[in-house]
Amino acid sequence: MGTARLFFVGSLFSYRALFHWLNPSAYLFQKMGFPLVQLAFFAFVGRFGGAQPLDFYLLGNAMIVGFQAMFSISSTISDERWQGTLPYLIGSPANRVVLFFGRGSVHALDALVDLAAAFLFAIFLFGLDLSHATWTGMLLAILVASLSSCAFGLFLGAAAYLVLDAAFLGNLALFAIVLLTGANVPLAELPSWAQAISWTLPLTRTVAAARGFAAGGPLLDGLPLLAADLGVGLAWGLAGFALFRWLETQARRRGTLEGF
Amino acid sequence: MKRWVRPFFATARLWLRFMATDRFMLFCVFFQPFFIAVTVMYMLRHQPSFDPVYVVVGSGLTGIWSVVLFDGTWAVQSERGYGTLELVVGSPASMAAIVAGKLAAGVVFSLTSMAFCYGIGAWLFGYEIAVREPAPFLVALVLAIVSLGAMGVLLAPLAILARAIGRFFTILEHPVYIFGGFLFPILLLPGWLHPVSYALPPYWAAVALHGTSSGDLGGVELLGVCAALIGSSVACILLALPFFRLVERRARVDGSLALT
Repeated sequence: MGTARLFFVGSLFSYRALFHWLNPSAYLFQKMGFPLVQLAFFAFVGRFGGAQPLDFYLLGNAMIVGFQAMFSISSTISDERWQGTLPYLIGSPANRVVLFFGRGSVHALDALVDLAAAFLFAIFLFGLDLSHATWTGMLLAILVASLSSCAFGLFLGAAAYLVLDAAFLGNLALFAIVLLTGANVPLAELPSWAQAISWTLPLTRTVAAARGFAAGGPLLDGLPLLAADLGVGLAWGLAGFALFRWLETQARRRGTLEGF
Repeated sequence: MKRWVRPFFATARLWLRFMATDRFMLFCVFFQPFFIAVTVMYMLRHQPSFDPVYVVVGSGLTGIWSVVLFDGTWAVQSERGYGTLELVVGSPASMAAIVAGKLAAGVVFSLTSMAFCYGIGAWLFGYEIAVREPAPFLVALVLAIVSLGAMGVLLAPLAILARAIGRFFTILEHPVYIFGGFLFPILLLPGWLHPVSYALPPYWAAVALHGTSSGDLGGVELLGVCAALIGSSVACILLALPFFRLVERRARVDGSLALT
């Protein structure tokens, strides 16, 4: 019971307090506005380039909108240092698995809202055609996109303790996702070393699966891709947790909690 | 005159050093234009009339605008964060000169993004990149950075007078890429949105730089665009001055600057 309480209370408060927004206007502008205008920008550039149909860019950029949750989670974890709450966190007897992964749970739900908004934006403003889509597959792809983005955010949050700047890491990851997940550039066009990086990113297979579902492809064809991306996301999340625990051990051993 | 010139240059020198070590600003100047240039190069290179200098100039502009936007928004807000805002306002030096010094440092620093994007096009993609009209391009570049800097001077007091507006500014990055026509012509936008572009100095900066780099803009047309750049710069400064006076009033008369 205590563990469940820690999970829910920790996740809710990390969402409300550490993400720096306390009213709806800030939420709308910062949280939802940015991904939507980025979607519009790349859709217009893609339309100008004409290499792919407009729907290619709309669908790709709508799917990667989950990156906003990745940003938020990495900030909520790394901001413990700047808020002065890191020593309390390290000193608390709370279960570390619950504490760490609880940071991402509300954001995962929030990412679903972002993704839904992105699709509404793409459909009603730009005319994204999903009339032949396999909707079960699309919904599953959206769910996997939100979960794997959040897991990647957990890793970035832990890594931000090393590089001291979550915004820098988050932005770097964001643009890597824009370029390398196939949202804007077909993977086949990228050099082989860049393709290798693409497959380690959490959204690459989900974007590919969503393209199949949007064209009316069968659910079974896309499920292996989604399962693989869930695995990639899980690997990033576990890597983040391992890094967090290692840093915590080092900080306790050296007595350098703020230097963590 | 001394009240303006000395603080201007002293602030510019100090701010340049600050920016050169600020990870987020380094991201805006180097990493973001890098990813945008590479992504857009892939997206546009299949066009029959593809000109790599268009991507170099447009991506460089994104770097310059991002620095102006965040520098403008944070020029005054950062002083509040450091607890030095009242000291700045209370000093005999003009506050507008201090903010202008910060922004001048920002735009000078951001110019490296243009050179960086040139390197991406020339060395990473192996394109032969040539500016068709070098002398008019240089004139256009100077006027463009002055006009973008002037827009930053306008944003700075607005961001401090209302926190909600300051938050709104942080998502203006991509909308200005869109309305400025940095990487696609604004003809792709609905006609009723074109006046928004015409009202923005970044649009005229993009017209001048794209036009002179491709050799499509010359003579009377170039003079007209230069006049628009100068006019918009003057308009921004004139609009900003009453807001700076209001900031000073809130600090000196009302004593409520830190509370706004």
